[in-house]
Amino acid sequence: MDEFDNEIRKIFKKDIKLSDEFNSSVRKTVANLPDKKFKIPVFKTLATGFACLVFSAGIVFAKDISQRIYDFYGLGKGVETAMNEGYIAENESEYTNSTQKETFSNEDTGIVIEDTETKVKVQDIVMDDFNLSATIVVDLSNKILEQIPAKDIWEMRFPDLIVSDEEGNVLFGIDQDALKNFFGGEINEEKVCNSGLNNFIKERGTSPVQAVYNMYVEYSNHYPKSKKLNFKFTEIAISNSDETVYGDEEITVKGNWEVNVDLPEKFYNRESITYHQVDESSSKHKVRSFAIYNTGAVVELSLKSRILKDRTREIAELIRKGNPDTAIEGYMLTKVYKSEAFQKLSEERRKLYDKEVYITNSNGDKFELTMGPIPNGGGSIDENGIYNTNCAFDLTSKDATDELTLHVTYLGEETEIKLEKDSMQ
Amino acid sequence: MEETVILAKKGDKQAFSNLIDYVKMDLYKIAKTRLHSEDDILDVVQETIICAYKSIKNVDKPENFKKWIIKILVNKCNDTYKKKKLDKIPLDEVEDVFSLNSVEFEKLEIDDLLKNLNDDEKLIITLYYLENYTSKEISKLLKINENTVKTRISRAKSKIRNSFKGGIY
Repeated sequence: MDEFDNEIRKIFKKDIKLSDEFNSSVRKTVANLPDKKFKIPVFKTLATGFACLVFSAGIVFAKDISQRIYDFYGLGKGVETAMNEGYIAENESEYTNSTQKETFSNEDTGIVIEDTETKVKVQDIVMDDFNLSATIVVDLSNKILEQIPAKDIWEMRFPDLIVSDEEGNVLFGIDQDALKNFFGGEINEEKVCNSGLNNFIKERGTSPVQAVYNMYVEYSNHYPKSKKLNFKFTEIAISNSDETVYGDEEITVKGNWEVNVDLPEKFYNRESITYHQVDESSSKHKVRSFAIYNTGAVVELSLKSRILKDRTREIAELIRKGNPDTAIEGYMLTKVYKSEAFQKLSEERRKLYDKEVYITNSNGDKFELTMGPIPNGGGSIDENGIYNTNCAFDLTSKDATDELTLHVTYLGEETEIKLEKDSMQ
Repeated sequence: MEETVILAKKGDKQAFSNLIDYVKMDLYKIAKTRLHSEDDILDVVQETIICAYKSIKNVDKPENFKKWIIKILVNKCNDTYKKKKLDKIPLDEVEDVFSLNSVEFEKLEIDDLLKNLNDDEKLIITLYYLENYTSKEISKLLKINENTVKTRISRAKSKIRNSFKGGIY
């Protein structure tokens, strides 16, 4: 970097005066952002293509899954428990091909191959109110495997996958264009479940590739009691490195695949077991809801937290008003954010989100927090100092007793909250 | 700042607000390289904030937050750019900023540097100098060949240099 570059860089780094209109627009946009405990419309992604699998239904219950190794990263032991209890639909149908001409391309090498004949099927579905897991098995043709051997396939993703049901609900869909296509124009947000995703390849290095898609609803959503699922996508994105960022995959297979799956009665006639807090007045913490599902239990908690006086914004405004010189304003704001006081405040605020929670049933069995279906540690602290958060546990209906105890350690205090099964089940 | 990102990922709206305060000037500068209208810039920055708030959990490492939100912004800008089929400003209509010999660099502003560049060059050179992106990172972000990025950086620097008639550099 020569002197010219350094001078150019200095000019780029200079602070500029942002208009009042711009600042006001940014402030209002942030102020109007919803609290994260409420439903938030679906995320946009950088995904591009779609693939559809056409697939005939033929689901039977798995009779013997003892030899299967399931790695439900992100969904916890509860799903495994459910599957061990027979709560899984195994599809033994044949593979299906793309319904339109298929193309393989590698942006890195510039290679493009037509008519690559990739076959796909969907199997091993688990579904309840919170979790939807499916394994999408992709049988890549030899033409593709010559370009990228199975041993080099690190991740496989379906960027524009839409999973929908017979009522037109979208259980999973991230790509905005795919969603618009599905709805024939404007996206009907009421029909879209906000779903998170953990996906991975089961047994890397083998072909066909088994891409496990563990989808889960977020916030206060529940999956509907669907009887049929449709999996539709037009792109398979492959990465050959663990450093590839989603959306930056250079190896793709484009086509049109669609799979229809009938779900077993056990899935759509599922019931949850709900509980209530026994004596609300005895605890400063409140259980807003508690329910046990087939693959786990979820509690909505309100914990009595603290109100931290955060004057950062106030100070920032004072700096802006008092300094017409944007360079000084920028300098002072940076000082505020890097100051020891702000660092300390950040640390104190971080601690307000720390908690330990677990459940015991009447048999003395202990059930820990699980990574899913709802990300733990989430939630927000409102202006009254109440920390509203949701937690998921690996407790399933198999271990549901009439009484449960929720153990909470928060801000150095241990609390036991008694829960009782609701009488109407 | 990393602590703030961690808090924002957990749903702390105030933390997210602080992050936006921190990056908004750079978001504006980058959006301006692509979009000519202040209204368009406002719109894409708003959309970027909303999109970032929704998907902040996807930030893998806190130190990557700025690059992550810039990626969202660039994609939004490109969508608007394509949608509106924004015409490139013909070079012969661009006012020559520098009249005579020596130029005092410290008095120049970003607009002065970018005036003689086309939109692609403006965006690339801004990411390169303002955000210290490497050519490889720019090529991944904009999905163009890395050599193309390097060529455009070189051409843009050359144009900036040549803008100073008989100048210092």
